[in-house]
Amino acid sequence: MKYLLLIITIILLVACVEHPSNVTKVGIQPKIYPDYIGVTIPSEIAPMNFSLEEENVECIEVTVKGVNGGEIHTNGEWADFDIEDWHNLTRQNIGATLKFSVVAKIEGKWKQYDTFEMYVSERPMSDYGVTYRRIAPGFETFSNIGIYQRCLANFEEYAILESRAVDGGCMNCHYSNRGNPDQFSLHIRGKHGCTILRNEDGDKYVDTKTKETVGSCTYGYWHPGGRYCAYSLNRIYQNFYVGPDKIIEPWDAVSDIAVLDTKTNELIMSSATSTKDFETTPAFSADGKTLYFCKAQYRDMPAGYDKVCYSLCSITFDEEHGRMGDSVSVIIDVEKIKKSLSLPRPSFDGRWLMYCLSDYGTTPLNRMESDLYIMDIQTGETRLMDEVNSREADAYHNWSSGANGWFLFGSKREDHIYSLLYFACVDETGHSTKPFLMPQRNPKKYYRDNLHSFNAPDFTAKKVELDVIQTRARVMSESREQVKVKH
Amino acid sequence: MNHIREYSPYLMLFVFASAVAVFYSKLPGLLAFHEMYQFFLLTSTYFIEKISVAGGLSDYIAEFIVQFFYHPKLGALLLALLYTAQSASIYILIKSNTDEWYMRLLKMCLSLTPAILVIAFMSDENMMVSYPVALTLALCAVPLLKHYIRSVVSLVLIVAIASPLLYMMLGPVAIVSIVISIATNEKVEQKLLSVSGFLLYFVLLIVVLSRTFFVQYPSESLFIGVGYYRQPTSFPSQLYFIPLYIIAVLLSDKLFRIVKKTIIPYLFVVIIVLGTIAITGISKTYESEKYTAMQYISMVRQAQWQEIIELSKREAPRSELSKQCVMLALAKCGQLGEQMFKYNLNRVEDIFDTFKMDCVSATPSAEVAYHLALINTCFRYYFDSQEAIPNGNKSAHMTMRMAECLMVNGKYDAARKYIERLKHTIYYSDWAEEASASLSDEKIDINPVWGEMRRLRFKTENFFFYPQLDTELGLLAIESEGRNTLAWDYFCATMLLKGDLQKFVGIYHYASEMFHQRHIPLHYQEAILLFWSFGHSNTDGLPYPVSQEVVARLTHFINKIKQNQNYWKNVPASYWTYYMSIQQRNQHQGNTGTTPEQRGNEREG
Repeated sequence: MKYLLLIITIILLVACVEHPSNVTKVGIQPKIYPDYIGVTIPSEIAPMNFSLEEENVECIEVTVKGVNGGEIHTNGEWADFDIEDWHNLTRQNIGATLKFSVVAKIEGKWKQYDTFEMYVSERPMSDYGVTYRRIAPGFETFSNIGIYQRCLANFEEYAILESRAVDGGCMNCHYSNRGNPDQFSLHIRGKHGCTILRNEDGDKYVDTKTKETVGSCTYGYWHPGGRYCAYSLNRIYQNFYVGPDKIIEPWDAVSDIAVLDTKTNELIMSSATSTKDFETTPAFSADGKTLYFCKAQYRDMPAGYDKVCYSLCSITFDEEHGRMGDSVSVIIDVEKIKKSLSLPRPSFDGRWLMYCLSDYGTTPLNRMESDLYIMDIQTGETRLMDEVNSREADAYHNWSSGANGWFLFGSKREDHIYSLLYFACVDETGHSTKPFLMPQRNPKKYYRDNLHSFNAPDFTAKKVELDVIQTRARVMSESREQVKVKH
Repeated sequence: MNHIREYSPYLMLFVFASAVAVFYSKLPGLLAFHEMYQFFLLTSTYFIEKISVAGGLSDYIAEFIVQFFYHPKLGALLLALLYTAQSASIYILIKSNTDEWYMRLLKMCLSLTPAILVIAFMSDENMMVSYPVALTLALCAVPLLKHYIRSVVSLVLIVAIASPLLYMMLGPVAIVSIVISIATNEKVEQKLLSVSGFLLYFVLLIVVLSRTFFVQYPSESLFIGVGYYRQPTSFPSQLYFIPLYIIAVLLSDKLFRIVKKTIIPYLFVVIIVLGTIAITGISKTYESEKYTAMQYISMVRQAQWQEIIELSKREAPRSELSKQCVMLALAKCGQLGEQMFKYNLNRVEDIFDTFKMDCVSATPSAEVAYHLALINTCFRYYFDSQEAIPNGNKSAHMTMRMAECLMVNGKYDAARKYIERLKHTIYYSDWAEEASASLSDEKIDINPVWGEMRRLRFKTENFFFYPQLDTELGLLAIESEGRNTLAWDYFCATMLLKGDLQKFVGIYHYASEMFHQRHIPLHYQEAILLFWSFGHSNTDGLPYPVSQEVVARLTHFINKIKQNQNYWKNVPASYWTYYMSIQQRNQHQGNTGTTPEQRGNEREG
């Protein structure tokens, strides 16, 4: 309904259609928002619409020419390309450059800027789109949060589940299995709390709290086989800063790692991953034989909050017998460099492992200094992704399901408060292209009006289908399958 | 005389409108409360966002009206006009040109009753103005619908088209428009069948909408109304009682035909009696501490410190919300240490409360934090309060305060986002323009308000831990090197409220010079003397210049207490009476400590 009304309004509005005359060359590239100058894009991406950063722009005319041929134009308040024309142009120029020529009318005078370029990657982004939780980045209360999906080939966003549908219940990260929405996990919190698990057997509504575990299933990651899902079991607290730069400090009082057998609803525990120390954010390797996770030495909390530094560890996983190994290997011991590692994410081709480093703690998006790093799994070499990071928090990265080097991540680089979604692509050497902000029809207006963070983003290979009415009925029914610990 | 009779219904309507305006002008806090929990934007995007929800047009118009509640007198006038329009719409529908004057007057009395009932129900602060707006618009639509319903075909067409349109614009009260248009339409022959058919169609329409456009909304809210009540999961009975009552009033035409002229005087007596009962009843529904608290909060927002103190002399604050406002006013006027214990304080929460998970409780605390220059705490309280507004609305006032916090902290990009939104309002746009021109360190530093807050705020990164509020305030006061006198006052007040005399006297001795406190406030003198009396029999050697009058009072107090342990309960309030009350309370309850894990707020991962 909202979109219908929006379309009607757009049709009714008289568009700015002026044509340049008496044009003056200014000899510099335009400052555009979002900063798409020099970015590399997949050919499937929605039009990279933009505005000039200046506020007093009356009209802009943009011409895009492909080196391999093709040309499109747009003229209006902002560069708003036709979706079909855009895709024709990008498909025609895969592996080549698009040259953008911008003429703008500012305070009654037309200015011609130097051209800038975008490069159309030869690597396809095969996903349908992305999923994320849209949430106001608050502290203890949240209203109208929801899990959404966005088609990356156009600007359409759909709600998968909003909190109003489940009587305002908070909902947490939607984890799919390598972008496959036929296998996902979604937590509902509060009065009607449960975890919705979808796999080939259908949807289950499970209660993951048990007397024998330290907390509910929290951060999840599916095994590639689809039967198992690893979770951290956390009891999370948070404190609030008084100083000018830091805001909030979530910390774990206790945390362990377990693997949920979604067939039997059994939690597979190991004495090696259920220790007094803190273990969290698990992730299976591409072949499913290794379970990565972060581990920090136990500290008395919250007194020791700024001394909790997580190392990257791993433990073997036997899919056939549903068993974790007995010993933990330390892959990156960050105690030595006094940093904290979080959110290990192996690429699906088994080549790379991306993670965050921050001064301490386990929630990098709350840490301004959090940066993305990449490790070559074969050689163990790691490097800071300078070409991607910003002076604000960069975290919550995930790989495209197509194992093509594309990845996304959240960053607060715009304003320190709101986390937005960026995309980039890693090449054979582990270096990344310049990241670009998720395109929107009118990005300047969209992101200026936006009051949500794009939280826990991930790719989805195809559109997520969820029957909201049935989900509501089952969530409200409070009939749950109880998870139990496997002995 | 004939003229008076002729115009008596309109005279009555005018008297009603005036009474409503006067009535609401006495409730400025309630009007400010409504204004505080919305963020009406004069943008096309906001209009589209609003009207894309069932009942969205009435929500939009209501918010447009409520923004003017920023000036409560204007708000009272607008509400009077709204209820007058509602009553006049009913009157137009039930009056007849052939009516005698007394019959018209009688019908006007009846026409006023729905508005009176709505006003009574609106004493629930969660009832949204959208509801009377929707009712009024629904009534206004009736003549138009009746005009076009001339045959069975037009009836079917009008019902088929108008039902979804009116539902989308007004919400479920659209039912009133169509039922009345059919039931009072002389051109419709089979009224019962037609109304039944419409009702069936209306229910089906909502079911279809709930499974197509509004799948994320619980179907109950689509049937009862999405925007009529602030709590989206609550459906108070008045929401469906009022439309039924209005329909009953509009269908009461046949009753008027049996009214004989001879019983008219009796009827008017009955009306006067019922009217008096109604007015008394309404007054009672609005007599509550919550309205006093709302008034205090609205005055804090306007920084009316002296007015708050004056009000507190007439209406003593009873709730924590009210007490926090009065204590802030006292502190801003330099009277906290002189007068705070004259109010019935019970605990630290009476001057600065911890965050509670609702949109109302934290407002006074957030304002206290703002004035203390506890910037992050103010930001957090307001951010979470805004997120706790049950209907998902934002708040212009809260956004303004959050923008200020971000500006003081130098987070200009985030502040700009909020300021840009505020530019699209009527009452906050001037402020937003001023703020927009101040988004740099140089400009903030020389700004008399924000620059001073920047100098007074915390510079170090520590956790804010409410159970140790006195320590937090002490650090804040001392970090400012004597500039943040409000923090110093609150620090002392918190220690006194905790009954920690040893800490108070020790720190006072060390830090009072830093705050240039030559005169010792009355309550501090009382506390110092009380502590001194624990180890001394007279004031010889007391290192503070306390008043001899206070010494004499304490001596008298101690002597009386020795004679009667409950003496303190019947004497004028002082720090000593407060101290006795907490001693007694601690004896009954015992002190509870906090475990290490409680030193943070638990959240679900």
